[in-house]
Amino acid sequence: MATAPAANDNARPSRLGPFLRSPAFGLVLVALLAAAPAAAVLLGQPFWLTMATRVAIFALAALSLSFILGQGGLVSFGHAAPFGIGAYAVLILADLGFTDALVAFPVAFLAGALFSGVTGTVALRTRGVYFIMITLALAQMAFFTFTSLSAYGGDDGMTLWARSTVAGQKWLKNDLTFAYLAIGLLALFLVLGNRVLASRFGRVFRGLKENESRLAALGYDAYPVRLVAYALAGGVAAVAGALLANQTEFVSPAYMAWQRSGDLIVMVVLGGLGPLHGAIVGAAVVLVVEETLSHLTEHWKIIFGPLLILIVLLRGGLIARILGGRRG
Amino acid sequence: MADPILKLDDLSKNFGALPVTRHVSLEVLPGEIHAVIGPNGAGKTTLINQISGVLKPDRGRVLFAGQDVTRLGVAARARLGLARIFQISSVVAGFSAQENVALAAQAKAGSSFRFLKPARADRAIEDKAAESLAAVGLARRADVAAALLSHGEKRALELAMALVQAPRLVLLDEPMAGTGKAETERLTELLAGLRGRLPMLLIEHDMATVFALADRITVLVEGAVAASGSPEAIRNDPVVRRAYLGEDAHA
Repeated sequence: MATAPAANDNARPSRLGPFLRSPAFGLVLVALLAAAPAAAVLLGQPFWLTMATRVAIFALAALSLSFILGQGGLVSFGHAAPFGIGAYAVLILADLGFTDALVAFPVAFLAGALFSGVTGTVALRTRGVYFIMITLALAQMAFFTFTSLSAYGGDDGMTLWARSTVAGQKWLKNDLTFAYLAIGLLALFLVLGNRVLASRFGRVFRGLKENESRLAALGYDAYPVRLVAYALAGGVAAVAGALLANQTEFVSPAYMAWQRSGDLIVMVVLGGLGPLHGAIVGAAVVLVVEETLSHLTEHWKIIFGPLLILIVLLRGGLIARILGGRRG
Repeated sequence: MADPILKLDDLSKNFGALPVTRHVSLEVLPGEIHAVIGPNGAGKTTLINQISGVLKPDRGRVLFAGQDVTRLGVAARARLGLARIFQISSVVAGFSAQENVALAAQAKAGSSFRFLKPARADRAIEDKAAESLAAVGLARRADVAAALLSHGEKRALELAMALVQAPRLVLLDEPMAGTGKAETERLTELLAGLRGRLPMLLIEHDMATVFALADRITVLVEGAVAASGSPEAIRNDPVVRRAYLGEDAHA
């Protein structure tokens, strides 16, 4: 179908491609994102400060999904579940009197990893469409569990009393500081993620996506490797959820609705399913387009949908298309 | 006589009502190249799938390295030292040749649950991989993505992946399928160079290769062993000539 354009692309000499796929370019993207909050404050545009923070938070969630989906071929349609669990971890811990981020964030990570680890023991027994459906089903179970938590607002969710403290200090009340916490965590997990992908573990995990039967013939069991990756990705998604709870100072089951899982997949696909930092581009594009189009019309999804289809049909993701580098 | 490295004991398998493996017993001795030949549909690939663990036999046992592995899966058998070269080349297309072999070497060198140290920093594994690539003549193609290698090169790459694991037995499922004449000769030479050091179970259509390599040949017809013996004996076996070799008997 699309072989002809692909051939053209290969013929086009591009030295940019390898750079765009390299971890170094990921750091360039983070640096660009890091410039936004400072610029927003200097130019007196507080909205763009909020926007940059949101982009960093969703980029982190999308990055964790990209780790299992883009690199491992695990199409999870339930990634909003650990994301929402991270948000609830902050809310519930605050309710219990643990308001410090140094407690809340690690606990959020562990809760997300635990949820993904436990549900993964079931989901990873399946393949293909079944995996997509079972991850969706498990996430919906989490969703309905939290809608029935009347102590924490049920359907409506609940306002967070205050943002997490850091070692007892209320630094995160400042939106600029908070933005840099989000961007800092994004940078940290981007670097860590790339490191894991380059490790012995990452080599096996990436190999499994391409040729599971060959890896079996080499003596590798897919299941434990995928389970660990799946749990780690859940933990990182939960950290993003913990950030979002703090930014909006509000937590509700909508954070783990299936639409949010879909949004995360869209971000990863837009980013090109390749290197992890594609998720940053994907998250930025989705959030900015959503913001822009929703000003134009309430039915902005009518425009966004076809736009999305167009991009997917062009294959290779946005970075690849616009800047001329191709994956693989 | 030395204990066989692989022993199939009365192996049977049906696909529905169709018997595809019928009471097959055979042995591969240490250092031996044992070829399994037979016309299309004789059940050669089904047999190799039962040896590697892809399929479970309905009846009978697979003994590998003195251990009953009938109930073990593919990966577990591989860890015991059973390497396989697939009928259709099977490598990790997106990895370089070097990384493919390193991946194979890594399976034999400690835990893969190491998360932070770059895999390429492990000199011992990288050196072993480079050595194995050189042994099959792919040293200069080490950094090329496996997807871009020629058919024959992919075959050689699979062989390098098998060798780097220092296996106790290599299953070769039609290694010459689809390769050109020159490549077939080169691969045959490579395999002949391993004779005596590495036992192999070879399934192959190319009779020249079979008779050049095999120490022992088993003929499979309609899922059952029709004859088994030295290449000389098989060449002169009237049953085999009628059932299978026929016009191919020029070899």
